[in-house]
Amino acid sequence: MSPFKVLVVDDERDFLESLVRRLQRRSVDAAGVTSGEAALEHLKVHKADVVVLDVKMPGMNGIEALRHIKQHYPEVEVILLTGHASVESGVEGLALEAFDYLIKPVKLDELIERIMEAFDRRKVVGELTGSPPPDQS
Amino acid sequence: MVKRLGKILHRLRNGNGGGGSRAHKDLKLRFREFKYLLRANNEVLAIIAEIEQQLAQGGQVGLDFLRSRYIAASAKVYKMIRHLNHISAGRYPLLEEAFHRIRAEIDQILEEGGGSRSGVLVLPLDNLEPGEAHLAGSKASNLAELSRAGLPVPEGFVVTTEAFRRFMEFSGLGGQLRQAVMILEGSSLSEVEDFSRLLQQKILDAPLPPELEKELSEAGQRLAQLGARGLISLRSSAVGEDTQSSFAGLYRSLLGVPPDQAASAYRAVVAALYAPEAVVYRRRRGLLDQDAEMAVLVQAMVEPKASGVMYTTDPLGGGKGPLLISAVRGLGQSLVDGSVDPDLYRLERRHPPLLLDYAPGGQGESLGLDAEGLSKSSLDAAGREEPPLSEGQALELARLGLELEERFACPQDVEWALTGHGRLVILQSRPLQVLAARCGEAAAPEVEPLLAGGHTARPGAGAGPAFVVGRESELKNFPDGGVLVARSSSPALAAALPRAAALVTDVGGVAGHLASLAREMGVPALVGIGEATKLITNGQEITVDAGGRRVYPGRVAELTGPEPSTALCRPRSVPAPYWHQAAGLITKLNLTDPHSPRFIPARCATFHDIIRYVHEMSFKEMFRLGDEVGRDPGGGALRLEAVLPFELWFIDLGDGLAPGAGTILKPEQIVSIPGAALIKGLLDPAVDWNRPRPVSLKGLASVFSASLLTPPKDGQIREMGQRAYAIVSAEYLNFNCRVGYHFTALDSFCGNQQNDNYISFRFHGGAATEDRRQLRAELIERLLTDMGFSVERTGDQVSAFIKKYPPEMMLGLLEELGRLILFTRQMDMLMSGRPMVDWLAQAYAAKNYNLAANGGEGEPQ
Repeated sequence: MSPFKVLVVDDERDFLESLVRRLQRRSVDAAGVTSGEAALEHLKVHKADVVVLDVKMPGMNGIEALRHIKQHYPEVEVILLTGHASVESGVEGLALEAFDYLIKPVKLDELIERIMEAFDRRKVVGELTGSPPPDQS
Repeated sequence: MVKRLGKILHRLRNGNGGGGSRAHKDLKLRFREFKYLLRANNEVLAIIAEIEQQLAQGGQVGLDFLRSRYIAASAKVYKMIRHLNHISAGRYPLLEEAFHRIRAEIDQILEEGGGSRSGVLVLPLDNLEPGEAHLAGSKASNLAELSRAGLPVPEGFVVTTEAFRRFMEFSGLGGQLRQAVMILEGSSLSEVEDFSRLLQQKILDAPLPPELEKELSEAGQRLAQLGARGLISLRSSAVGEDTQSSFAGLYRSLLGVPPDQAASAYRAVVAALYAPEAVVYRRRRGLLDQDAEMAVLVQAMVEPKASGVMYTTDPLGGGKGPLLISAVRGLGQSLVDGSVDPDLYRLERRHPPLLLDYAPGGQGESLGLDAEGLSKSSLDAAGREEPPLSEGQALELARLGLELEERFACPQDVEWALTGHGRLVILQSRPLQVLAARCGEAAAPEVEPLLAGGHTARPGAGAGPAFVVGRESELKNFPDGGVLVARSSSPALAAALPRAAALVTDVGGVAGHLASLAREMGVPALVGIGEATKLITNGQEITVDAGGRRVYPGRVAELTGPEPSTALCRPRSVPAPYWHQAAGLITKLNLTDPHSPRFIPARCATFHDIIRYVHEMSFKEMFRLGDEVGRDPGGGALRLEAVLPFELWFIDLGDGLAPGAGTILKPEQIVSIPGAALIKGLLDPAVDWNRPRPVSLKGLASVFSASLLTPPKDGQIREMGQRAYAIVSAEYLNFNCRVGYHFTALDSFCGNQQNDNYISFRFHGGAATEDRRQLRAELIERLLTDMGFSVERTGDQVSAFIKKYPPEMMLGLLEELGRLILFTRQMDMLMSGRPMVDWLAQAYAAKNYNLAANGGEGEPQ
């Protein structure tokens, strides 16, 4: 398994399950939840290094979830992954320090590459701020 | 946004912990930001190249394509600005203003764009203007052109791509599709089939946006009054269909539709966009499902006495063959779906045309209309006897065909109909795939053939296990490299074609859709051979000689010969001006000179300007950063002491330079493994870039003044202020060089972990005209391919990649790249034509880096 944990957040259950399964098959330690609220709950209990976050979700949308995550877990890197891309949501997400803004469909290889990069950044930031990733086994 | 990093820097400067090592960690973070910035830069350049290519091809993509690339580019551009501000602790606040200013301009064009066309869902064919293929699809836009020219075309209107977009977003299917594409990546044919069936069903069940439903119904009712028996037809008019990629028969046409069923027929035509065979076809052509946009052409129904297909030249005749008309009595559906052998007319291509011969086919029943829609009836003996077209009508049709060919400036594949009143109408016209030359028929082998006869739809030979199609659903079991054997030439078989060694069918003519697709995909095809499905057993090894019209048992080796090449003219349609305008705000480059006082954010007029500016400044900042961290020589930027056409500066991220290097770096002090290898190539005395290029290149001297080929005489550094940067660690190298308009980037990891090793090389730009830049890019593509790289070239942009090579081989490649960078420098000025590409590639291969005349016999004129 990868030395980092990934949390995937997407309200489309079929998509979420398929993506988490494919990540796991590629040895990525991935979990999935279907809402922004559930993501925040998940982070309270289980740590994550990288969150892959859908933007358009009922209830708390991805941008709000991003805001909360960055407020409470500033070291966690967030990759926005959306099927309803707009210039506005891209700018807003990146201004809130999302690591990247990706538009569905994205090739799995490319997504994994981005996740690894985000984790790499998370490690370096961790070294600087004194909060290394939780498990670097 | 930069607050967090600012805090880190603050702590850093106050010596909070780690000291030097903390400084280095900070450098590491900023270097990462720099790396992300460079990557985003490449991503935007790739999007720009993609848009430019579409502009060059014209009319291949819709407004949605531009919109989606714009959104993707805007995120990356904004990200680059953010990275630059991270690296520089917020030194570039004005860039965001520039970004929002350009963005607002693009938004305005896209929203108001096309002026009166914005939000138009339904548009009469006669109101279409040139350059609106992105709105109406290629088929409708071609027909509108014919109508404008006074050629006979049925009345109709088009349901636009804008209506399609509204439908997909209104129903939520657009988002689902984009997710589906992601889920389906790399999945098997049967998974693709299952999913596309599901998606198609969802489209058939989805409600139309109320305004679309209303407009479609009203326009449909009006049009039906002009149609035979009050009926209409709906035909796919996808963007990019009927162009270089024909999509022949993959999308749907519904004939004889009562107007009250227009909405459901519309959904059915749209749904066919995601039929498995269409999905497979797009993958094969490198087109993206999410870019597919469907307009629908609605026409007054014609009740034809006869109909069919006309090729304005024999597709196998290298452009010199006769004009071919395939005809059936009644509607032409059975002809194009390959279920009937049509009557065939051959005419000499001249003014006026001349009928060469007429061969009756084997039509047993004909398709007509009744009040409900389509109806089949048997032909009696008299009906079978009478030719579908009289000689006069065939000549008249051929004359129309030659006119179409002239209008579109290339051979055409025309669907036509003859009305009950004896009037000829054109239902569609698209470019015809023509094979460059007919393959010589191979000498018949000693083996007794299993079958002989039929029509060559695409010459060539192929062998493999026979796959006899029983029901179409079995297609998903089709083995790679199998020979597809089928009863009829149904386009539904297209999904298996890309993997087929050859195609054989019992019935069908060379004008059928499947035959067109076989030609397009280069699959040898023999159609209408009679009893293939009876005489060939499933799994049996066979060899098909499509040109020789024979099928042999087993594998017959001597039949596989050279492949014919295809020649196809380019479509001429040009996107609307506002498409250009919006695209230009993304792609054009105005900020070319970093030394100009105008090289400032306020002067950035396009996204390309912004990234050019950010890219330039990011290097500056990395150097400033080097100075900032400066006390430790490993953290500063060091200039390499060497004679090169640019200043080369090094930044060390750790163990890339020998300890104790002073302010000036000597080549031997570079200990970075990939860095040292590249330098070795750059400093190879064999590539004497400093010497004038030989004036003896005849041809050249006449075109260019010698000064272009001779470096200036002052100083050793030829292009002062042109800097290249190499960022190194023990096993890493990032080399960036921008000289004038040329941009070279090389990123490499090279260590003992063979699996991690890679070289990524990019090249872009040039100062010469587009042709010359492209030729130089072709040269570079050729040289890199010869070196073993996997290379992609789009316009003047080349990107090459190689990975997982053992270290020794990596070093050889890096050294070679050093030579290549100098060899191809300013080569665009030499690029007089394709022979020059060949000649230079040979010179390079012969290590004649300095283009010495004596080594260059056969030098291009």
